[in-house]
Amino acid sequence: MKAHWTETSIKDYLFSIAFDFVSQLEEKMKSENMNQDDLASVLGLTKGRISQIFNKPGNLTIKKIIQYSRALKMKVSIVAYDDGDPDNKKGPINADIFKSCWETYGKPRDFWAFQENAEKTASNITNAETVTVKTLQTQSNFLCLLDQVPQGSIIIKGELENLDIYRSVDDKCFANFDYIYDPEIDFNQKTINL
Amino acid sequence: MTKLQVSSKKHNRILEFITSADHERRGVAFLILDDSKVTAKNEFDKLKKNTQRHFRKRFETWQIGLIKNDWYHGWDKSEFSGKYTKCFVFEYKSKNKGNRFYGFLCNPKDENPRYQLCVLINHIIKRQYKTQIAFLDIVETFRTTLKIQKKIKDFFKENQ
Repeated sequence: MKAHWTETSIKDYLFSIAFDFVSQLEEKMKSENMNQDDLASVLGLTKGRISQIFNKPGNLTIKKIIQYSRALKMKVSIVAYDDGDPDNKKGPINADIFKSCWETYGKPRDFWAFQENAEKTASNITNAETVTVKTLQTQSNFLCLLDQVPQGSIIIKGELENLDIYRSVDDKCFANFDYIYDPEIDFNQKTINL
Repeated sequence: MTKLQVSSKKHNRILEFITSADHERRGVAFLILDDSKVTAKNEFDKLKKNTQRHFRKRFETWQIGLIKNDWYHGWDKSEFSGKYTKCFVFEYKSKNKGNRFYGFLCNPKDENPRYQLCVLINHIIKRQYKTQIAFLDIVETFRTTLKIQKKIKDFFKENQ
């Protein structure tokens, strides 16, 4: 397998991680009903400058990253990690993965909270008794979730004999499992005893 | 509807991946075919580096399962009488120029039927908001061509 495109140059790598950061700013702006004009006015910059940063995020510096996130009342961390891919064949992990994992564990501020929340999450899943899920049974016995799910839903994926069980923390995190654009699919309702 | 000559270029490879090819769930690839209507790969190579990077990130974000309707989407059965429910588009707008890659979704791996591939067919620069149906029709023509479907399946069998 050849190296990921972010291995071609530092500029490519920088673009990739800065792009993830800018996407998180855009999500926050959307949730606050803000546009680029609003952000420009908070930062005392022109709209053109903001637009340039959003289109060419590779020009961001750490200083600007802090200024921009604080302007939206957000914080930023830099995370170094070892994902077992020393030659960077698979590319960096998307920043939203780290964010989603942190949110899944109740946004812990320290390792005490992290441990407590991890135990709660495990116990919630164990205590579940019976769930009904919208599924499609495919030829290889995979259970596929085919629609968006409300917060707190139990989500099951995997083969019938070897199921992975999740509880969704919002309607985005797990909503995209096996989404298939096929109007002909026959949905089955299945009840599964856990 | 025009009859398609299905002859892929050198090495007889019908696909060229733009995302990592060994992802367990999803992949994005260009259709490689000697046909003037198949423009995605050539046009991608001609894009500015910055625009290419924007698209690479969009392809990868779809691959990892994040929902971003502003960046990519399909069409459900309520739109266009359900004619384009297997079509898909990736979008990036820069300086009022809307770059779009149109393609189709398929599940080409018999041993892993949940694996989803987006096969990119054509690229357009679009100034109006409305979907250009002519391009979706081209995508549908290629998607429903049996020889192409078979070549895509064979590609995965040969590269297992």
